[in-house]
Amino acid sequence: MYSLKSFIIVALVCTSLTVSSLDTARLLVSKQVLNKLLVQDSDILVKYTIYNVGSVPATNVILQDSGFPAEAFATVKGNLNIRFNRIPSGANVTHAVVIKPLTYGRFNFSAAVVQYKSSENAEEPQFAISSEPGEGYIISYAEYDKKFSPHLLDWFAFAVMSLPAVVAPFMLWWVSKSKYELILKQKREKVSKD
Amino acid sequence: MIGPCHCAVVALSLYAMVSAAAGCKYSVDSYTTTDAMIVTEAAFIAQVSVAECEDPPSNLYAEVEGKLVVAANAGPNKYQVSWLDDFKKARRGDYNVKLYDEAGYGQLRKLLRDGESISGVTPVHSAYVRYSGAYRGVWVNSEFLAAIVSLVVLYFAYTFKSKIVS
Repeated sequence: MYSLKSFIIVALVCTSLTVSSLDTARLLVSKQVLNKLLVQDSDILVKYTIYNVGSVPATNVILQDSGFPAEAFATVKGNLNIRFNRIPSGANVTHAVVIKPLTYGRFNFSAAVVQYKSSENAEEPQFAISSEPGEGYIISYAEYDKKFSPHLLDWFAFAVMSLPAVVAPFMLWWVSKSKYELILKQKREKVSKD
Repeated sequence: MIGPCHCAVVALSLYAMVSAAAGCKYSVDSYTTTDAMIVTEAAFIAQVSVAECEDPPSNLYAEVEGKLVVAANAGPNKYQVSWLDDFKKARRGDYNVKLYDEAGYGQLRKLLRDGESISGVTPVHSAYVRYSGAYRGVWVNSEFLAAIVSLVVLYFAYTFKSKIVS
């Protein structure tokens, strides 16, 4: 008798679980930093993708990312707190924000939080946490410039500095040559006069 | 065959669009990532704000070059449309972003599903997002250029010298 009772309870729990998982929206959220390099005062592109893998639409989806403190980051374009009224079942939405770091150093890119209504009659909001991009090192602009800029000014300065070594001997030779030619010319004129 | 009911729906949605277009003023502020040295993808972000609107659209959708994008609500009367593209695929120039409200989006999806032309659906607003092209670094390395220049100087110096000596 006891075993039958427990079996029924387990079965009931299973059915309620399956029913609840069938009738609710389930959101998977990914947060990606789409950068080759993280550079101070330059764009960092953050992409959020929300997939609804549930069977019903998710409504009132609120995405909040408080992982970029105002003293360290400025928003170039885009919003870090947004809302999608409805994400249909099986659909995905993407959202992009461009920010720029104001300082350099190690930074931990943490997860964003999504809250949504998992079904039409759900009273409590469902919370989801996005994937974490993890730790990254933001290099200073001076360091980036040293490595990747074309260094045109530096090369120009080098050319100016090496110019005397080339031009000075040439000028000496040119002066002596023109002097010699002048003497030669005068001699020829003398000979022709005579 | 088009039934009277269908006509009414179309008329109603058209009316809704016209009234929305007449009442609201849309302004679009856009940004694109262009530094391919730092960022891996071209991001297009258009921030839409609606003003002087009695009944602002609860949802806003956008159509860009055949792609449908759901706009995110970013506060009262503010929306954000964003999409990403590969730097290699992204074309330089102006991208026409057509904004639709719920009714227009419904029509649009139906027409796209049936494989018909979507030019008949009037957007509530349309704007251009300019993409100036990706910067992938300098064409010629400056070290390489400096080496070429010094070789040219060396060549001239040698030919000159051999001329003088002979």
